[in-house]
Amino acid sequence: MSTFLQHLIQGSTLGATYALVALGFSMQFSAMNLVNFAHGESFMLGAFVALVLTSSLGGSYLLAFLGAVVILGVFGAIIERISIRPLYGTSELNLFVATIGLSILLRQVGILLFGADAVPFPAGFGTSNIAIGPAVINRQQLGIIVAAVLFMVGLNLLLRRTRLGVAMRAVAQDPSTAALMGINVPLIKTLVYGVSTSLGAAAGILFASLTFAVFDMGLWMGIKGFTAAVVGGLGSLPGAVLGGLLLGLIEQLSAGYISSLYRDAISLSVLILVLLVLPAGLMGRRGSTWGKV
Amino acid sequence: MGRRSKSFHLFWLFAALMLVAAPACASLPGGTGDGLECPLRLGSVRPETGQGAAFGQSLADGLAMGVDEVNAEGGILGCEVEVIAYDSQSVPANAATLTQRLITQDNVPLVIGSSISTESLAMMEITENAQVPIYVPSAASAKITSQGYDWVWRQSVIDRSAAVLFADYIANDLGWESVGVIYENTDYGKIPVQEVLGPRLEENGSELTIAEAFNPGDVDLSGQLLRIADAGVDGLVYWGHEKEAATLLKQNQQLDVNLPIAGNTGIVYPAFLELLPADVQAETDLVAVSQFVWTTDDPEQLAWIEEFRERFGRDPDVTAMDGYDAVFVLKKAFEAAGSTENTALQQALNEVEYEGVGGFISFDETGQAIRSLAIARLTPKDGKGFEVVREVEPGEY
Repeated sequence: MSTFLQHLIQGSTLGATYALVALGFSMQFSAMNLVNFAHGESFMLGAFVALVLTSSLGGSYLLAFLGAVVILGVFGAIIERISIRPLYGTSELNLFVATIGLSILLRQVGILLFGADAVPFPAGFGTSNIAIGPAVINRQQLGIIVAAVLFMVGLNLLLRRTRLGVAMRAVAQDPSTAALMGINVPLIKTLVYGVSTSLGAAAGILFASLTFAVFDMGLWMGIKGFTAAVVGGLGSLPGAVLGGLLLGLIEQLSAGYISSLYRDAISLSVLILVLLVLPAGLMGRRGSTWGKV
Repeated sequence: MGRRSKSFHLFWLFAALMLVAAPACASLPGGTGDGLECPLRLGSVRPETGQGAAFGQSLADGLAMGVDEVNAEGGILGCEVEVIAYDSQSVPANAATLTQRLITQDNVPLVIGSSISTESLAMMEITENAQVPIYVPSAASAKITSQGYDWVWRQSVIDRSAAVLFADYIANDLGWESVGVIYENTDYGKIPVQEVLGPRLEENGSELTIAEAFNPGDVDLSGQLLRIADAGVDGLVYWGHEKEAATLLKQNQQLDVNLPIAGNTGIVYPAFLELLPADVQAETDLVAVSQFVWTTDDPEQLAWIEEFRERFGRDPDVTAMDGYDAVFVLKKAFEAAGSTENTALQQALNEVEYEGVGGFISFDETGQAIRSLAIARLTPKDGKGFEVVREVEPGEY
């Protein structure tokens, strides 16, 4: 029982990071009709920018964290403006290839700036354990879960309670009508890209504090986050959160109880089953809307 | 632009993924250049970018340091040595193509193999066909020298020998009766664990109770770790690379599992200790097997380590040391051959003996080097890192 509880804690921590990355994929897909191969790199860049900031801001984790999230948001918006926006109106394949290229470029820039070795990352929320019944949760893990929830609540408030959020939702639902209503659609798309890059960066910083930062960390995270978003229903934000948590828990439990050798095979098989029964994903709907976060 | 186009979108996405992942093989005939024009150009393919970039960098640094010293002492056969180096980007297919280029366009008499086993294996296909010697300073896969190829030599210690020594040490010196193992789910981790470590432990009267795997790049090993802890083992053997090992050790402490851990050659790297917080280092019971430990007491090695630190600003690892020694082994072989002619070089490499900074180097009939080995214990108390607790002479394992 204690082991099972421990598995749940580990799985939720992992799942919370997947969910943050999956949210970005889903936002970009519904608002921009974009499947962004380069989204995983926001995870890597967030971690390294925060690392640079902790060393220059005298080690304040929280400041570095918020700083990196803001910087990456701006960076994402600039990247979108330069490399994605000019391709709108051409084939969707062009967008794919552009994001693949962008992903490789950002990863190599990561090596150039930060080196090829894994770099230790400060554990911002502390390293001690808190006992939960027979299991333990590390302060950092708790921090990840709390921060992920805060970000999701914040995103919900942004989308529901601000004019900007209403505009974003309108663009996601129907860009042409939104444009007719006087919404600056390209600008909103740029901002959506910025916000989703911020979310990816937050996930990267939180996760690196549990492990380390390395230039290729965005590669596997991109795959996991994308899988989570598809299972939840690409385009649905509640689905992204659910898909992330589900993927984290299934991975953990299959490694713990079935076979670590086939952990990824098992989790992906479960996910394929989900898609066979619900082709649009768990929360996906026709004419996908963002719903509640 | 309706839903239909979105599903096409996904289809193309996966199609693109498949294309990126599909391996390519090339095997074309080629010739070798003859004659002794200066400078003497050697070919090198290593991963300077991509997954294996850290090892590639170590190899490149070691080679550069060796080449500079050899040149300062008059070069090889009176010629200055120049290394024509290409970046494989950690992709074996690229390594094969670049090897072809080294042989046919650059006419190098010898190719220095990559620090990634799969890349060196791909390169060997090209060099074997072209009958050009390939010298692999540092790569672990047993396959490099077990396939009966005539033109390959590998200098680094073979993972099988390390596994045999380790199994003996665990069963006899550490006295673990019930052993758990966690290994990287690739040839690198799987083959030594399943074919060597497991059977050898049983010969020694210990039992391999539970074996769990992980994928390279995994950042969470807690599922496997908790499962192993539940199996009630005396200790845990790790077989993989340093990043995942750091995760394992952290989680071992965080989850209060606190198993003693024995790690393979892949973790005795300065990069590994940098990833471990001080409290984890202090609280973990860790031994590891390696060919070279940078915290050695050997004065000759210490002098070299100091020189490396001054030049590159970091501690050297075993890959860098193997790269450095390789240049001197090659110098000796070229000078024994008296030319860059391939059969003379083949003969010379088969017979070469060299006492390097990393110990004595000679080759068996398969081209595998016979090397010394050491077992080191992590002793953070004096801030030293790994400390050698047992040394094994070349040929003993």
